[in-house]
Amino acid sequence: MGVLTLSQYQQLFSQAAHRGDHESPPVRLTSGITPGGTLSIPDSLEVYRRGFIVRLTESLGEIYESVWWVAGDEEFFRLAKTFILSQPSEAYNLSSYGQEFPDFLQAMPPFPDLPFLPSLARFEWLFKNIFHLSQHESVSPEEIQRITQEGNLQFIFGPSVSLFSAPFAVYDLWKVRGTCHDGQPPVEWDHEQRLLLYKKRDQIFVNELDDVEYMILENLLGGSTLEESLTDTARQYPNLEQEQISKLFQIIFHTGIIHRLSTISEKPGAP
Amino acid sequence: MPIRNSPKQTDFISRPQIGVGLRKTHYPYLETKPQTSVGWFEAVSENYMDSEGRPLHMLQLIREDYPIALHGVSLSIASAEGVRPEYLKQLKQLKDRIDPFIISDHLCWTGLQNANLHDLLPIPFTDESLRCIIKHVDQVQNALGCHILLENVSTYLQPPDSTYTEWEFLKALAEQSGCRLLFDVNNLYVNAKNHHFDPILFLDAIPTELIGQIHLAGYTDMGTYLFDTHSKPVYPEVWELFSRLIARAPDVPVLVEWDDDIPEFPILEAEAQKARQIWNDHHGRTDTESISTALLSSGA
Ligand SMILES: [Fe+2]
Repeated sequence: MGVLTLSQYQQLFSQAAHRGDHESPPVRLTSGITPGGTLSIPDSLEVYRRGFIVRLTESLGEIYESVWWVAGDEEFFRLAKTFILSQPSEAYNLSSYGQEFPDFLQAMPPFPDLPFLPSLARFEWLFKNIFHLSQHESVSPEEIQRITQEGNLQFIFGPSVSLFSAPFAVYDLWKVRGTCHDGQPPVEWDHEQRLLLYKKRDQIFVNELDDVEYMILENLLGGSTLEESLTDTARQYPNLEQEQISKLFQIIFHTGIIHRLSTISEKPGAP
Repeated sequence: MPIRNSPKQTDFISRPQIGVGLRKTHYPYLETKPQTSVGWFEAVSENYMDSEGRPLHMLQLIREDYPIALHGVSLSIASAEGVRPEYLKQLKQLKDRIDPFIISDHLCWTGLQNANLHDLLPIPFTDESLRCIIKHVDQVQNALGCHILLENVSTYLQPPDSTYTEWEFLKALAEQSGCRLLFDVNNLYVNAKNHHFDPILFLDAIPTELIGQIHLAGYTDMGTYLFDTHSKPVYPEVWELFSRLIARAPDVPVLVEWDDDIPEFPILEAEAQKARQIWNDHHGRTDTESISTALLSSGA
């Protein structure tokens, strides 16, 4: 059959590692392999196939710790293996693998008892990303006074500052991960949750927000000025009260999520 | 920017030459800045490359007190598809931040770029592989601005069509590419058992001047083959091979790896002490006199 080029060998090896449980490895590959120890040729390839699945499962398990906890070992390993064999890794860094796992869970037949699994997975992927993002210096208390005088200010948030919303209480679920459960986690999860996440002193903090707070912050994070953001929110929530705005500002000041303030003329594309 | 006031390569003159792998299990202990008997740490590059998080801060903290070697697992130097430019860019950035005295990876490929297996996979020892890897070594060394070390890996099968033995290939690669070798004595032993050759043949075939670092670790006997798990103490057979190697390579830095079932730091330190004792038995110098001339002349 002739000598395999390096590229051909690597293609065949990859096929062998990604094959399903009942498929045979390519004969063109197996015919030239010398197995190690007292392994058979298929078993020597299986060492690598199994190792690959275990390694990627471990990595997914580290990122999606709560999904694993709530789904249980058997179900999580089954889901992970199906995902791994259907979604090859394009990342060079193993810890970057698995971004599509929440969508994969969403596309699976529904989990009748655990409908929150895809949302929980989305939360965990975001959490992992925030862990690796840089921290910011908060704007000084003197600088922040400008908010009271200038309406047309744009808030520049730290890179780790993120919003998350889900139809289920994923943060409450995440907080109790690891505790004992018999199929149903010990927490009331069947309600919406809106969250603010940010990083400070190498730790990730999570604040629960109400609808109004979430909407204002979402606008601000999207680049709207405070004035634009409040106007927009008041349109959707005509009963918006000063007290609610004050409460949000307490959160903003307390968390230190603003990195700096910028006047509107500094907006990208502005003259 | 290199970290200011951090130990440089030359600090090896007054330091013992035995290092251990830096693992996150030990962060809380190391964060307290305890006195340790280890001379340096080897950090897995990928754990710090794409992150601005706690791991990087820990590495920077440890770098204040110890020399650091960066040891990668994702370079995939033997990939027919080539080395990923974005990987090299990230690695160079980490190098500039940490100022490591060694940068190493493995003599292997890790999978296709669109289907990465994230493993250290065996390569056929052929002229084509040799040419391909030499080209990539040149590219990597130019991008990083330093020499790299490549490590022999444990394998559980031999790919088709090899025309070199593993040791002939390693020697030819180091001689022709200008890289040096990270000689993993455990991997040598595992391969000798798995592929039925005399480990001494391999050990004695590699000239000392091509060796830039030594690894020691423990394997797991799976019954039908030996598996490189780094989950156990170093085996007596591996210590024996190490002893034979260190007798002729006194200036090469040595590292003890432990990646699974990781023990408390003092147990890892004790394993490193065993390596130091063997070194002392051969060379009769005290710990603090060990001078890594190999390192100092490597330019790494
Ligand atoms: Fe090693």
